[in-house]
Amino acid sequence: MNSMLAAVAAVLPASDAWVGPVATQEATGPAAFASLLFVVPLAVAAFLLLGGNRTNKWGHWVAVAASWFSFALGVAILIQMMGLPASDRRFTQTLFTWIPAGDFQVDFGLLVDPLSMTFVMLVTLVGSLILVYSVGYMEHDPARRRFFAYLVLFIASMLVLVLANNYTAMFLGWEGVGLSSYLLIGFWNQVPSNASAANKAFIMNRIGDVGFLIAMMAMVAAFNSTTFDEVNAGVAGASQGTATVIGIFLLVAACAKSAQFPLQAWLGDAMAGPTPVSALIHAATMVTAGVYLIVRSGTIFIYAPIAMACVAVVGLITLILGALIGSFKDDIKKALAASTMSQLGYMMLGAGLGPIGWAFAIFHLLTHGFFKSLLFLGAGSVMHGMNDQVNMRRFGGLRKFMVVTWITFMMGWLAILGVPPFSGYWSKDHIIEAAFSTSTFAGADAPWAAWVFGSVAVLGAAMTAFYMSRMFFMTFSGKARWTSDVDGGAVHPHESKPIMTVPMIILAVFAVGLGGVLSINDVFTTWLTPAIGPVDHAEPVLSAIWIQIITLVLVLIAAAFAWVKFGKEAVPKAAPYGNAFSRAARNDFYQDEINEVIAVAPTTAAVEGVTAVDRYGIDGGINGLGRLSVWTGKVIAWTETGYLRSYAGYMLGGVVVIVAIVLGFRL
Amino acid sequence: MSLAFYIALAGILFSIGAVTVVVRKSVIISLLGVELMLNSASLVFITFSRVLGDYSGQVMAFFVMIVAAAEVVVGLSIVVAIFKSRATTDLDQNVALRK
Amino acid sequence: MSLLPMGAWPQMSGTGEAVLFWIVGSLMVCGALGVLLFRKAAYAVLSMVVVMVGMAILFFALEAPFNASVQVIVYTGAILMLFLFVIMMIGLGATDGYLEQRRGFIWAGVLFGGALAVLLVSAVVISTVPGPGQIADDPYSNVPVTALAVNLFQEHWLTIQVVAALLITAAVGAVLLTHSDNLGPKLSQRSVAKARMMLYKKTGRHVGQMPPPGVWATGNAVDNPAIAGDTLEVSEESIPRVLRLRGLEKPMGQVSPQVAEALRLARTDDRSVSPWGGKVEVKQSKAWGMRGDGAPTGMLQMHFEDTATEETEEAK
Repeated sequence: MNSMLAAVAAVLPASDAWVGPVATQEATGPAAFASLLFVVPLAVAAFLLLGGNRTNKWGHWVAVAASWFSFALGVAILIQMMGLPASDRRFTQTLFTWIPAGDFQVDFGLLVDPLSMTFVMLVTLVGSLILVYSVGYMEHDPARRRFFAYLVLFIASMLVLVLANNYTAMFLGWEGVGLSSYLLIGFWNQVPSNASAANKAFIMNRIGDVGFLIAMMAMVAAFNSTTFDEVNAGVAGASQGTATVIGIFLLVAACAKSAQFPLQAWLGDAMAGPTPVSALIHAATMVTAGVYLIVRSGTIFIYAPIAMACVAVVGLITLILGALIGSFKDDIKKALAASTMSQLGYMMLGAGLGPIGWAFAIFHLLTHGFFKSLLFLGAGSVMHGMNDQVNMRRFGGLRKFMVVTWITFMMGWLAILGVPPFSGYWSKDHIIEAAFSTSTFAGADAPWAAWVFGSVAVLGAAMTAFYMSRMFFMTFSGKARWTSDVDGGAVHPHESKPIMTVPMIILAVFAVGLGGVLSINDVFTTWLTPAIGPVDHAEPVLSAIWIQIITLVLVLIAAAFAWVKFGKEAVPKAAPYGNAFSRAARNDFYQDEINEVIAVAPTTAAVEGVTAVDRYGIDGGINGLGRLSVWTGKVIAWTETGYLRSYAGYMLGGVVVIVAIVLGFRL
Repeated sequence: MSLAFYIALAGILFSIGAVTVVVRKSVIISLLGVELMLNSASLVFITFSRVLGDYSGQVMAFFVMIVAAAEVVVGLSIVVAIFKSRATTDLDQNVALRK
Repeated sequence: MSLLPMGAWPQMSGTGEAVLFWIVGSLMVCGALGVLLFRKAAYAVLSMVVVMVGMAILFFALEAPFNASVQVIVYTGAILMLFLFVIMMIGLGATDGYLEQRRGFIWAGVLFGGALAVLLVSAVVISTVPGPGQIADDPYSNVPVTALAVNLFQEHWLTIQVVAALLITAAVGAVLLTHSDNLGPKLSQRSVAKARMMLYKKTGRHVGQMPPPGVWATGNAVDNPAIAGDTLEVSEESIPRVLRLRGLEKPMGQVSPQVAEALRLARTDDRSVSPWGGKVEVKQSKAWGMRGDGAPTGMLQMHFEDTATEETEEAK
């Protein structure tokens, strides 16, 4: 108990006790209608799926309208919340009793507080913009209505996830986004590789779901409840072992959903889906659900320092891994996927640092949502103009032909690099500073932790700069390396229609300004305080200004290096053979082969073993009984000869046997 | 030389008679085997009558003989009747027990 | 013999009896083996005689003179002679090829027989029977016979009566089995012909032989029915009476379904499935002997007017 208190005290601000989230109140006003945020999209999804081909012509507009409606309602709730004092900003509302099971009861309730409203705004705004973009992108696809139905289903599930007030309802949304992701990745399932990619994503997410379920089981066993409030209250009195178990399994769930090491293999293949899907789901929203889970369960991690250290370590590993993979990929979407993986590693690192990092993790999540989806939409626009090719080595010199795309992509590029005053600079630098302020690791004092975390974070920033610049210069600058008729089809790059470029412009505006605006007077971190507690400002081991200068210098050097290599020099049209490391990076560090050996092969062998036991053991036994009785009958029938003397012989034999037995007993 | 040897001899005759019944194809010789078995039973009775000093064994052997006579009469007339219609005494060929 | 765990039995009366036993015993075993092994039936019966006589000698040695005598008189003299008469009836030279058997039959039989012999001998050898070992009366007097007679008719008188009834039954049964064909009147050709005419007078059954069973392309078994030529119906009598009584005759449909169907249609004069359908008018050629309205009787021929010439008019 003493060590636990010491560990807690080391993480917490020295002066006050742990404050935690403020108390909730019953929802009033627009917040009372928060359920409509997801009920309307859900109803529209059902309507579009059941409506069939009759709704083909106008179904997508209904979906767009539903999404903008959710955005409008979210804005109304936001305005209501901003009008209230900080301590009154958390609302709960119980919709209905979901699982009445004697002593244990689960209600389907909503929790409307600043953290969930942040996500609601992100999901509805980015989602609505992407829905508008998709109207143009999927114009020629006959299954467009089904696509929009799935997208709206996704938005509804994501909103359930962030608005739930207990882990069980959140799990419902968790599964819903997994399902929508599967449906959307495998949207063009007539191509077998797309269907396999969808399967891969779903199955790896399932591993995370099992982790989530085990964590929930531990919660129910320890606290007899899954609501956030009761679990947070209970974990303060529970043993460190319980808290660590819950924390580790929640981390497993988050790893699967956010594509962190070791469950990151599905994100690259998930790019098989249409680009709007990649933009919405695999950049801005679904993959951030893992970070949301970790931050929402912050209280648990405070009482389980080992689990929190695991979160930070996982974030660090994924940060570097994603950056390395992204530096060698030639497929623009896969490179962006690796970039997402790496940025999520940043967010995980922030979440794993404790109260000093949660707010910045969410901040980075918010800004990343905007500029990453912008980058994906830009990539989609480039693909649209280049006949759906994705190989960056065959792009080049596109900036004269796709001006709007080029400018918006540049905005996103500068944002992700962390160049001031773009939004990425504000969020990423805070995380790097928080990394340099760590003083504990797994509950023990660790002065080296700050140097290690901070250096890796800075290194990651430099690598991010390198591969994003590589992508930008390979695609838009340099000489044109397009395919021709003999090479793989002639391309005529052209700018996309306004219905696609207008959302990109809006997102670009956010990518430029959101970070700066929300950092004025720390308005965003103050906004989040009622939900996750106050941000503790620890002192970084290096002074803040030096951190910023060193980071910026490294970023600029990396960008310049990429310019020289990929902007000025000629880029070879085929990937060079490279050394073993670059080949490994191009193959995602053989993650698929490793998964195959660790997970797939043993499972297949187990299934084959079980089927063999069933077929040969059980069926063989039952059929063998049948065959045995038939064989016995045949043997007995052999004695029915019909010859009289045979029967006389049997009698003689019988007499001999009986006399022998009697004599034997006598002896 | 104990009187047990008479019983042993009767046992040997009995088994030879049993083998005759089983192995021989002609039904008349099979009946002869049956007679052999009955005779060995009589020998056993007579021997025990001497061993135990009682006349009951001899009485039993007498009755065995009478019953054997009756049985041979009926059996042989059946054989004759069968032979008249089938011209063979081989039991294997004409038995209705077969399919 | 002393190596085995011998039981204790009363002893024979001396070496004389032992010598007698061994000689006669060996001869009996040889005779029994002769019964088993001789192929000619007569030789087998004669070997049996050897066994019987040897048995009688042993009965004498075992102080049972009456049984010994009856053994010779009844068993050897009557029963084995009965066997010989039957063999003479069947054929003296008839051999029994008993060495051709089903596979393993002889070996199994010999094996079991040998096992039985071993078991019986060992059962005897290891057992112990207390007892006087001889009959109390003087064997050289009449007492063994008279005492046996007294025992038989005093204590077992009911068995004697029953056995007598058994013998009578056996005799009657033998007579029945062997002389059954003489129990009814012997049929002669005249009596059979008379019986047929009486049956025709009473019931109109045709005076002729019974029709034989039908011969069909699918088979000519005895249970196939035949179709009578005059009525074109299935003739009941063509199937043997025994089969009809037992219900073993084949119905027409089993022999040939097409014929059965055609008979059924013809019986009801149903022409619906015939290729010509409907009413069929077939012109009568009016030739001599065709069915239809009465054939011209006698020798009246058709004659056409334009073929009448002087020569035909003269021939009439």
